[in-house]
Order: sequence, then structure tokens, then C-alpha cells
Amino acid sequence: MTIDMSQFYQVFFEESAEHLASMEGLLLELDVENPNSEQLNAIFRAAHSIKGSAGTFGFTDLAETTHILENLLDRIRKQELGLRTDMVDAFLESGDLLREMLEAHQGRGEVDPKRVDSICARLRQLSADDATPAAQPSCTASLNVASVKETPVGKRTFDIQFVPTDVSARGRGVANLLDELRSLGSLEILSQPASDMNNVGYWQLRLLTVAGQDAFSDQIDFIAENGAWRVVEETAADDEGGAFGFFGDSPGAPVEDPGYGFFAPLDASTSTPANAKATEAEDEPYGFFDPLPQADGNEPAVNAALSEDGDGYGFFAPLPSHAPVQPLAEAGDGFGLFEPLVPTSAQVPPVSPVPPAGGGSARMPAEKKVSDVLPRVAKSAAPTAAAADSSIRVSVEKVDQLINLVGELVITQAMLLQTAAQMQEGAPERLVNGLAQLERNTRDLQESVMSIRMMQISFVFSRFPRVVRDLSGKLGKQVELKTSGETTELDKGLIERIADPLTHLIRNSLDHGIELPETRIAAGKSPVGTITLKACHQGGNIVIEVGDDGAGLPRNKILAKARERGLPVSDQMTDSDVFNLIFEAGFSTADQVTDVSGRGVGMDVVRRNIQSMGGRVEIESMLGVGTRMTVRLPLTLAILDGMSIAVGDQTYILPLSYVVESFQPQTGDIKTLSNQARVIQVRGDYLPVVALHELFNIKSLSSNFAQGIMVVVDADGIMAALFVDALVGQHQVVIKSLEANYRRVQGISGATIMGDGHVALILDVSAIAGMAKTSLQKLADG
Amino acid sequence: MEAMRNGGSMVNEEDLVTSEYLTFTLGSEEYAIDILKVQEIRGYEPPTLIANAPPFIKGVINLRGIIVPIVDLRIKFNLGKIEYTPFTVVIILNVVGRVIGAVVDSVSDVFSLTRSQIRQAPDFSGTFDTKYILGLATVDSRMMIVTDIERLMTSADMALIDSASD
Repeated sequence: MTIDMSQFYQVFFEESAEHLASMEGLLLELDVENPNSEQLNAIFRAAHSIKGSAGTFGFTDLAETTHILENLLDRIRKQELGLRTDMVDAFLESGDLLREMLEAHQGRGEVDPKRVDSICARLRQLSADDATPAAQPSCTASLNVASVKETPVGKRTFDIQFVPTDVSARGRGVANLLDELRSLGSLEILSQPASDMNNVGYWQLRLLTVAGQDAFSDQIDFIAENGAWRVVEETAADDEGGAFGFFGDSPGAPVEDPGYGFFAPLDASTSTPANAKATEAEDEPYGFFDPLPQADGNEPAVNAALSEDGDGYGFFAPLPSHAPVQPLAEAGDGFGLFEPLVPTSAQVPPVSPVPPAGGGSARMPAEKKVSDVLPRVAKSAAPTAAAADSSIRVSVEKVDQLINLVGELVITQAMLLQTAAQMQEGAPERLVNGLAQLERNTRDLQESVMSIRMMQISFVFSRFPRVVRDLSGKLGKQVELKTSGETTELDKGLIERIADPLTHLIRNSLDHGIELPETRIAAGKSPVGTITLKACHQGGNIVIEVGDDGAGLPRNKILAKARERGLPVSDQMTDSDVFNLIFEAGFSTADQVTDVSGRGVGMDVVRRNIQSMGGRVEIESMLGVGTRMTVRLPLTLAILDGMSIAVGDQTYILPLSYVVESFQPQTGDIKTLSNQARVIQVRGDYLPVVALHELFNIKSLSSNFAQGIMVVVDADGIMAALFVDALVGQHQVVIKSLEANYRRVQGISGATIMGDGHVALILDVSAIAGMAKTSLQKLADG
Repeated sequence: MEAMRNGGSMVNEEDLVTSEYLTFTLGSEEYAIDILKVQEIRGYEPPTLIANAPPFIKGVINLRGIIVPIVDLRIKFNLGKIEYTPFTVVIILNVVGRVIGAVVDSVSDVFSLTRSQIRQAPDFSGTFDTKYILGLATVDSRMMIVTDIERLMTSADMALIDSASD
């Protein structure tokens, strides 16, 4: 029976990507000299979770690689191996590889099998390096090869996971099961529901026993929520070679042995205990495990066939929360030391009023096949208890739809308000009050809905420690990255789009900004450069700063380069004008092109990307002291602060962020060039004049320039003066696409709906200013 | 399958399938369009002008939060009197996932037509490109021009869509 797992793939991809990200973050935080065991455990758990779900969903390559990674991690966290920097490097690299694999499974890119092999080999090598010292029998928490070899037939380790039903959890059911399992062998509770959950929730046990799985699987089935249980035998990865022998606790190894096939678990998980036997029969029976007779009287004792259920590996994310994962006692001598907390039987209070999330979601698809349940259980159980209770995963489309609807509501509300204000005899007071209330409520509603899309910028920042680490290593520089304001919230759409430009800025700072340690020392600076990454709110904007204490931008070099490229420059240009030259396409002052940067593509792309988000970049720099790039972005893409302007009988919206100033011109201020283009002098600069009524072919109300208003706009360096009839007001407008039902219109970036229900078009200031500039240039050239 | 086996008989099963058509007038001509493409019919309201658009594109309106372009078919086909009164009708069409409003002189009827009632139109050269005409139908001695409104609205000469495939 095949079950369509593809419906869960997306969840798997998202989760695995999150695990990888958190793993990477933790690895980078890790203090190699003195690793924090909490962090090591968390890294291990992340790897384990990926492996588990990868196995469940049939992504062998992922599961295999993670398995090796996990083995090594496991040994480190148990202090069998000392953590070394090269291990962290290897981990990071394998993290990258895993990410590529994930993407390949999503149909993007391919993974080079040679790389997989080399990384796996490297991980194995790292693991084997210290195998000898670690294999001391005296090692407390570890188990040496010998002991595994001695015990492989005698004792077996089972990884048991289940979610008990409410009834059995509140009654004696779970306690009985635990007692019984203890009677079979040594039981370790890896994870259990929080003590206030009355045993309801996700359990993970490790049982070391001579008995077969059948000795207890039925009890578990009895206790557990319909199908929400799993027993997996953990096998030492003998086939992986001696070095791996001691990972007795690592659930499962990617061995070719048919009985241990990684994907067999799919079948196993779908099968009820009854047909599981069929599967088991195919496995190599080990034969002699008598089901132990200690089975408790009140549980259905089982004397099933003595077959081996060799398949299935840990598909559950080891729980990060409840019981801190013990340094796992291995099969063999170690376990006495870790006789786990025996609290569970003691804490079986009769009633639990609140079923926890884990149990709840396991119950929901109870009719479904086990395999359907498993990912859900794993999913809800994996995050910490608090997170599981307080967040849900919702598709962005749904949120967007909500935002749209609220946008409509705001417009309707504004329309009502306007209608009431225009009523002949004045609106009744109650109506006015009600409308005022409605206005407040809709504003609040809009804000809350918009905040759903908001994400912390740490989502982007978290990738930079890695970038800095890798690059500084490659460039032979010592760089420290300092971040602040990671909790600043930003629209999700912006978050996704800001990542690339920011990465570029950081690479740039690293490559061009920060000097080599020797140079720094010579300049009297600390050999370790600092890159600061800062985010904060400023007015209606998000400001992200990328700063470095490096060499600073060489003004003269930039000017020289600009002259070389034939750009119109002069020595009188202000610093900021000079620095803005680096945003020109193809501009690079790098003496040599490295694979990091220097090709001169990039900064122009950065600026274009940021502009397309309605933001802008500014550069401040001081030679020898450092450079600071400031990116300003609007809070969201969906709402814009606009100034409404009147041209003829039409109203247009001018994005406020572009507006520099406005003034009423005198007739004589406007000069013509070749009697065609007009310019106006504003504070010494001649700006091209764009008469919007001419541009849009509308009859202007002003017969001459003195009757209207000039609005000076700055579209990222390109200044222009727009001539309009009047300034109407300032609004926050909801941006609507014009292209959804119509097409792109030159000079228009979108549309919005005004309070009276009319459509107003939003001006594309960059395009308009650009047009003005080019037409002026053509004139000047011609 | 049935239809194919009975292919030899007088009536093809396909011909019996009736579709409903909305008819509207442009000047003295009557047009019929597939009613399934019609979202709603509403009165004309002054739209917001779009700069440098062809004259038959009157602009955009706010249709319950959606920005909808308005095409005046009378201008496009140079038919009828171009005036905007409270009785001027806009047919809101839903074609290829887009919402487009079309100004017509009036909306008259809804007819059911079978395929056999729609006759091949003679090849004529006129304002209305024949490739948008599915055929001619006569009901109560009125001739109607059955139009492929989707094809018409998405065509390049309507300039409604950025990259028209037509």
C-alpha cells in the first residue's frame, strides 16, 4: 500500500530548512574550546530531526548524510570526541550539502555525488580520528566497540515513541506500560510530556532489552492514540566500519542490508502490528528472543512470532523540550549510570483538563494511516512546548487575502466617513460617533493584520555569521560580525528581497572594506576587523546599516576610475556624490577580480533591488576609518505613504519618500534649453522640469508655471522638478496592482483607491525622473 | 462516443448543446457574447484616466477594490453615439482571469443558441476583424453577431494586456 507522501513534502522541506538554519546558527555560536552541552544537544537534535523526517519521506541521500553527521555530533556531545574547528567547518559544509540536497529534491539544482561522498568521508574521518582514545571501556557515557560486539545478539535497543490516549494517560495506563517495559530491561525516558500534562503528550523511550519488539509493542498500541506510536530498533551501524560501531544510540544507519533499508520504515509505519509481522518475516530473524513473561496482567500479553523488526529508524524528532535528552546510555555497561528518571509512574494524576497540543494533533488524523500521523506528531512535538502551543503555520496567500480584505474594509470605511461628512444637514451624532469608532477599529484591525506578515529581521541576519566566517577565512582576514536590532520587524515580502542586497553589501565590506590583519596592525588598528549589522525603525522606515571599520572608500581612486570610464565627474563633487558612483553599473575599484567581488556587477544591482522595494541606499565613508552603508526601506510593500497631487481634474499619488521639497515657482525661474526642455534652478542646481499635465496629456488648470507648484523629487540621485497644479494631501495608501487586469503604464507604478472610491494612480518617480534626465541629456548631447 | 456513432444522422449531438448568450447593441448592430464570460452589468461612472492610453480605453475604475480597466467598444469600433449618461452600460467581463469593463450602447437580451443556429459569417472586411466573430445567429428576425469576446479582449489591438499572444 502506498500512501501519497507528497502532500507532506512541503512541510518537510520547510521544516528541514528551518532545522538546517538553526543548526548553522548554533554551530556558528558554538565556542569550540568550551562547547556548551545545551547547544551541542540542540545541534544534534536538529540533525536528528532532519534525518528522521528524511527517512520517513524517502529521501535517502539526505538521511544517509545526516546520519553520518549525527553520529559524529552524537559523539561530540557525549564528549567522546573533542570539538575542533575543522569539525565545525565540516558540519557547516555538510549543512550546505544538505541544503542543496533539499533544493534538488524540490527541483532546483543538482547535487554532485562526488561532493556527497567527499563530505561523508570527511565526517567519517573526523569521527575515526579519535576513535581509539574514545573507545576506552572506562568511558562513562560511551560504549566501546567491543561491548557492542559482545552484546549484539543479547540485548537490543528500541526507540519507542508514542502519544498515549487521554484515558490511558490519565489512568494507570502509561505507568503500567513503563513498569512493564522496565521489567523487560533497562528503560530510559528520553522525552515525556511536561509534568503538568498528566502524561498526555509525546513520549520517547529507549528500551534496552533481550526481548523482541513483540513483547511490548501491543501494549504500546493499546495505550497509544490510534496508530500514534512507533517502535524502532536501533542498530549499530556495523556496516559502516568499526569506527561507527559504538554509536549504539544513533538510531539506525544507512546500511544496504535489506532488512535495514531506510525506506522500509514507510511500510512499517503504515502497517498495523498485525501486518507488520509480515514485514518482519522478511527480515533476517535473529531468532531467539523469547518474549519475556513479565508482561503485566492488565495488559494484553503478547506472544507473537519471534521475528525481528529490523527496519525503521528514528523518525521522530527527539524532543528538545520536556525531558532534556540524556546523554544516552548505551546498550551495555553504561546504562546503569543513567538509570533514567523514574518519575512517570509517580505522576499519573487522574484528570488532565487540558490536552496538550501534541496529543491533540495526533488525535486529529486518528483515522488516517500511521504514516499520515507520524509527520504530524513529529511536527507538533518537535518544537518546544511553548512554541507548539502558540504558533501555527499559515500559507502566505491566506494572509495576503486577509490583508486585501482589510484593505477593502478601510476603503469602504473611508467612503462612509466621507459620505457622512457630505450629508446635507450634517449626519446624526450617533452615526458620526459610530463611524469614528469604526475608523479606529478598522485601523487597529489593519495594523494587526499587517503585523501577521511581519517577520523579525533576524531571519535574514542569521545567515550572515556564516557568510562572514566563510569569507573571512577565504580572504585571510579576521572579522567579527556584530549585529543589533535583530528583533526589528519587517514585511515578509521585504525580508525575502532584502537578503541578497544585504549579503552583497556584507561581502563588499569584507572584501574591500576590512583590511588584512597585517595592514590593520600597521594602521594601528586591532587585527580583528568589525562588521556591524544594525536594524532599527526610524519613522515609517526600516533602517539597516552595514558598517565596517575598514579602509573606507578611496575618493580619489573612485574619481580616477570614473574618469577612466568617461563618467562626468569633477573634483568638486561632494563625498556622497562620489561614493554614489560605486553604484554605477560595471564600476569597480578593485585592482583584481576575486571570486568574492570586484567584477563591478553587484552594487548597481543592490541599488536597483533596494529601489524596487521603494527604499534607498546611502554611503558614508571615511578613509582609514570605515564605511557605513545605510539602507532605508518602507515598512511594507503593501502600504505607501503618499502625497496626493492634483493635475487637471485627476489626482495622482506621489510616494512621499521621493519628495524633497515643494515650492511655488516664479515665472522667470524656468528656463528653456533649445526651446524644448525646461530646467529650473533650485539651490544652485538646474533640475529638469517635468510638467505632469504634458506627460499625461491632461489639460492643466494652471495656465502658467507661476500658478502651480513644483515638487522636487529625488529618485536615488536623479533629481527632477515635477510641475503639478496643487498639493492635495498626505495619505497612507494601499497599493493595488494595475497590471492584474490591465498592463504596465509608463510612469505609473500602481494604483490605489481613494477615500471617495475613486482610483488614483501612483507615480513611478524613478521612471519619470529618468525620462526627464535622458531627454535632457539627449538635448545636451544633440 | 455516442455522438460519433450517430454521426451519420441528421443532428449532431453537439449541435443540440445550447449556450446562453448576452446580447448588446453598438449603434445599430447587435452582438452576442457568451454569458459565462460576463461577471456583471453596471452603470457607467467616470473612470480615472490613464495617460497616453488609446482613446477607447477610458481609464480604470474601482470595482469593489479591484482596479478594472474600462474599454469603450463604441469608440473602438466607431459605432453608436459616444455619450455618457446615467443609462450608459458597462459589461464587466471576466476573461482569461482578468476583469475588464466594456462600455456598450445597451444590453438587450439573453438567448439560448445551439451551435447549429450559429451560421458561418461571410468574410467581410470591416472595423470588426472577422477572426473575433464566431458566426451570425438569427433570432426573431434579428441578426446577431456572435463574438469571441475573450479573443477580442486579449487581442493586441485592444492593448489591454502587456504581451498579447495574438
